Amino acid sequence: MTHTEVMTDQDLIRISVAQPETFGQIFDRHATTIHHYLARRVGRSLADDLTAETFLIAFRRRDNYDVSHQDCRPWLYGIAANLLRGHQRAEIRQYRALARTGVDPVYAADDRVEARVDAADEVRALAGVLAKLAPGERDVLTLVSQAQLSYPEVAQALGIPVGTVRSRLHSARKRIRTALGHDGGLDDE
Amino acid sequence: MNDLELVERFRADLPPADPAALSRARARMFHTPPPPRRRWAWGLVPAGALAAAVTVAVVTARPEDPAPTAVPTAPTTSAPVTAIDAAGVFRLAAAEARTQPALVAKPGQFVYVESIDATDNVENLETKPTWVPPKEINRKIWLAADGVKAGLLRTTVVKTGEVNEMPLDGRTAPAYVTDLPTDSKKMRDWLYSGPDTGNGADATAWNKIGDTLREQYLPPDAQAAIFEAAATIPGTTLVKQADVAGRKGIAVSRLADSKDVRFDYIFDARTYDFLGERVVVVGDLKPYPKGVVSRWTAQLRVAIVDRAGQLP
Repeated sequence: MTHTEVMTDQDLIRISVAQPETFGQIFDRHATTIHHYLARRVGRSLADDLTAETFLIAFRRRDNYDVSHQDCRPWLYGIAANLLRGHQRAEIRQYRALARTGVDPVYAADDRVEARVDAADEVRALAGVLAKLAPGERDVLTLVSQAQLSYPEVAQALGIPVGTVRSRLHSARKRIRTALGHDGGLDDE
Repeated sequence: MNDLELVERFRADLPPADPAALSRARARMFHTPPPPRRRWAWGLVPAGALAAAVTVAVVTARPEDPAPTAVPTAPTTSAPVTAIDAAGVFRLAAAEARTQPALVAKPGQFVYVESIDATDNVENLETKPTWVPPKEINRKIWLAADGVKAGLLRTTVVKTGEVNEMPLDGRTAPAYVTDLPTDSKKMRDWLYSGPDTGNGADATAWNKIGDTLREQYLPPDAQAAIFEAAATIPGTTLVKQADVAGRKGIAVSRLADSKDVRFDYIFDARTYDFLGERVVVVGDLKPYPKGVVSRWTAQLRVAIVDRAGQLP
């Protein structure tokens, strides 16, 4: 495989408009990361499909990629988050099951990973909150803490103002803290 | 552990994606099964070149045609008709298509398409990206008319004569297409019926034209309906000089939203036979020199044969 470290995502995507094979490099760079994010939300099996879907959509849209952004991860996460909207019920059902039983279906339903039993109380409480969050809050919370995107990157991914990222995160965190029995104050951002 | 750390660790130990699943996802990106065929997976089978019956006429039914380099002569019938806009070219192409006899294919037979597909390249991606002009490849493809039997692709590098043969998996869509509308209004609805590929409804419909004409056989009425429907897609322009494979062409063009790249459907400038497609870099798109043709396809021949590998 060609080493293309010095090429930014932006360069590769621009080239890929006329030379589609180049988009394979974008896949090779980011597919594992996107898959992991998706798997953490809906399980690995569905993540397989959604990863394929995410990159298929990205590939088709590459000719109007906003070339002012050098790193295309926020763009990919945005597509992935949008696809997850179509699978909210499955996602929420699994959070609920975990909250109720302490067994995480994302592990239990996947014979490729060891089943986990008896999740810690705070994990069950978290799952209960994740099940109840507004979809936009769940996106922001997971993109910040799991995908490790910055606020501006989350804003770019979801197509919302940075202020909205802050307020959604604040609201989601408050609910988790309440559920965990912590006080309502936020010590860090 | 604070609340954010808790979320951060939640399911963080899920194992990474199965490599096989990723490799399937990667392949799917370049090769989504037809229909519609993917516009840009030209290097992958079975997408690759163009197909339409009109070319048969160019090659076989018009022996009186001058050699490609000869001075154009007037059309053999009536007064010369000249299209003055993009929609006009499509309408004349539709009229031309309707005059063509339909090819007949029986179950078990193969659609044979010969084309020249020229694809450029960008070398030294990692150090100094350099554009390398399109390399011409002659493609001969055999696809089961009913989609049942396995097909065959034979490529020949025009410059070196290097030949490569590849069996093609069966279970494709029938290459002899019988289920398309023959009425322009219904065809337009069909062109616009797919999900928006993210480029906007018009661009999506525009791309679907090429995807539908490429390497399969459409009866003349369906082909004419496609051109008539294409005449109604907004945003097209006429490019008068668009020669392809030595044939004098006229192109109907549409810019990508990025404005960097223009997609041309090319017709014979005199007869309005469909000749092929090309992609022209019109904006600043490094490392492409501005104005170069990035790739082009000329369809040479479409025929029905009894078995894969058999020349008509």
